[in-house]
Amino acid sequence: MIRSLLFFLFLGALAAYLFKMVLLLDFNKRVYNHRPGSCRQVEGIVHGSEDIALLEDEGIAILTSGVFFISPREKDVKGQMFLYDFAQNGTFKAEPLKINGKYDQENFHPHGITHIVTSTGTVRLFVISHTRAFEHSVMVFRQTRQLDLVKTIRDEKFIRPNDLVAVSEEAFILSNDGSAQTTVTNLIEYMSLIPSGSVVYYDGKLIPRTMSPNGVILDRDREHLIVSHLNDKILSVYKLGENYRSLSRVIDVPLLTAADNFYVDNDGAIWIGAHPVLHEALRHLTDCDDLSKYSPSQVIRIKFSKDFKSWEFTEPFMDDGRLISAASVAVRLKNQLLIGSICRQVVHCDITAETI
Amino acid sequence: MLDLNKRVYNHTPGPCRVVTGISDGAAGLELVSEVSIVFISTGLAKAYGNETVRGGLAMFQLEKELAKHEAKPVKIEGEKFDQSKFAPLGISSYYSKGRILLYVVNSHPERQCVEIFTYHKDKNVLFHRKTFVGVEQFSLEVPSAESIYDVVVVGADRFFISNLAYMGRGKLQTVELVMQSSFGALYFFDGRTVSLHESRLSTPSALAIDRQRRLIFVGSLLNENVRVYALEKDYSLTFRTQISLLSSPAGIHIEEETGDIWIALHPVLHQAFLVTLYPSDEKVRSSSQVLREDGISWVITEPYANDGATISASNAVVYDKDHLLIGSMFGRLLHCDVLNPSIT
Repeated sequence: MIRSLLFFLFLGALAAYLFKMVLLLDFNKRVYNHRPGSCRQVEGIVHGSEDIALLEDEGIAILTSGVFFISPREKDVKGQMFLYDFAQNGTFKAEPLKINGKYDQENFHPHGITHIVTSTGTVRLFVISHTRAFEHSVMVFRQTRQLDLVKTIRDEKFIRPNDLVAVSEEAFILSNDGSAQTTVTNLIEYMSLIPSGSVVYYDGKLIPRTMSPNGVILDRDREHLIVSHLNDKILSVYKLGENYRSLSRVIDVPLLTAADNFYVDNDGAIWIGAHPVLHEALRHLTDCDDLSKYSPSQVIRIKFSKDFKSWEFTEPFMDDGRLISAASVAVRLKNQLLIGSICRQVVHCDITAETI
Repeated sequence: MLDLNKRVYNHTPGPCRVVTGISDGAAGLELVSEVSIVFISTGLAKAYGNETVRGGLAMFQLEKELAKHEAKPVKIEGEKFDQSKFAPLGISSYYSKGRILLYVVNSHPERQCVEIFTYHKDKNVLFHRKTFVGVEQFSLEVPSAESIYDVVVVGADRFFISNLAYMGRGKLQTVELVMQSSFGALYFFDGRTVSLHESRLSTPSALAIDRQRRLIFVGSLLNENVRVYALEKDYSLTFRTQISLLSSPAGIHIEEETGDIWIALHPVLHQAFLVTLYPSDEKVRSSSQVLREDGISWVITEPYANDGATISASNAVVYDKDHLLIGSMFGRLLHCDVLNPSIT
């Protein structure tokens, strides 16, 4: 009697778990293509741009390429930094950036990127990098159409870093999207739905345990931290405490799509690269170099009210993966939209006020 | 089935505006391309229990440069026509020798039928000619259609109708739909008798015809697909293919020249269900979506999507020369310019 009761309880729990996984992995979703204007793939870059830093004043974007993240990549996949000049006329080409300084090129695989303009007017870049053995560091560069390595930071709080945002010339906020370091433990961690990510302040602690934090960025006033939670499909807004040492939650926005990285434009609108069908993204990302696998890409724009209590969604771009696969970031400069993917194409689109 | 983890994110193919003169729904749209007129069903809420709403028909004249976006109500004349029992839904038209015949599904619970009108363009008047597929038209072998959704005309007084479910609208139909039964059907009227053409369909909803290619399109609300049939010379249907949409089709329009398929859908079905429970409550909204399937490459794009703030529960769509008209079940009619027809 008790045994059959336990059996049915187990069946009920299993059914509830499977239902939750089906909803989480988006098996009942598909995408329908649309674009905000003419689009084309950017030349010169084929191994993705998981994150992009847009330097509005200079009209250029710095792109990370060749990310390595748990799953192995082909030997010819080279970690690189690229520059895209928005002022180019008629061409759509990304140029590789020369890196000056002492670092291990073979083990350079850039991931998230952020930038800040220093008091002397130079641009400082912070870049998350993983080695082929999946060790993590944050590399700090000075940018002058070349990259001069200033220093490499390693810290025990960099558990599985994904994205970061600079808060000063020496400090940043960084997201660890999980804690597993191998394919097997990552799968177990994923299936268990245990919140194993964290958001850290270098140097300090912000959110010790949370579900898959991915993109992090500050609003234009640099008073609020915005975090995407990929598996929960929500975007969280936090008020930053004094000296960036504490957070208080303002709101959770249900996106119902797996948001990746952010960009905040001059109007304060947040641009998000997202994965609308998560099971296809996971399948594609376990074997990035198999070109027969691809995943849908989505760009979402959210405009918040001043107090972050209400918001408005639009979706400027959606693709089934054939133009760009698994987009992770989108940045907008006037009428130009640049969309980066985790490990494949970069796409440039024309965009107008009417098609945002 | 209920799309609990879905939402849409707003986007438009170009500038949009609300068409004035429509506030009680535009649940059915029909383009008569020969005269560039779109006919609009209004007042569907009457079929869902709101007796203060007046069911009727309106028209919208398409012009190259629209200075004004206004729909005009069309007067209906006819001795046997009872306006108080008129809740129009699907519309189809037949144009011959300058004469416009309109076939309109009347989904009023007391009068499930197809009403046939003749349109007089000069006077902007519809004359009621006949009522078809009332109870008397069905023989004992063919059960009566209790839940007619759409109609598509294939010749003079020859048309197909879709019957969404075995039960008429109400609690029993809800039970039938929740259990995902397949008791919907496709009926054909040949001018004299009704025959059953396809049975055991899951919730057949929108119908459309591609006259040039002789194809009939049947949407399935719950299976979230569109079935494509070839229309034979004897008006029998041969199943050709099935287009999976993963969104619930409510209205289909075929662009004759290109063969493109335009579909109005309910992308989040539980929201659409709530809207039908509270048809006059403006705070209860449902998402709207328009998809377009290219007639040559079969690629599906999404020209329009809205979370319900601008247009709620899209149920019909019509496209003609960069004019996009989107009709909602109980609310507004929206007109959009399509800036990039080839990529949107």
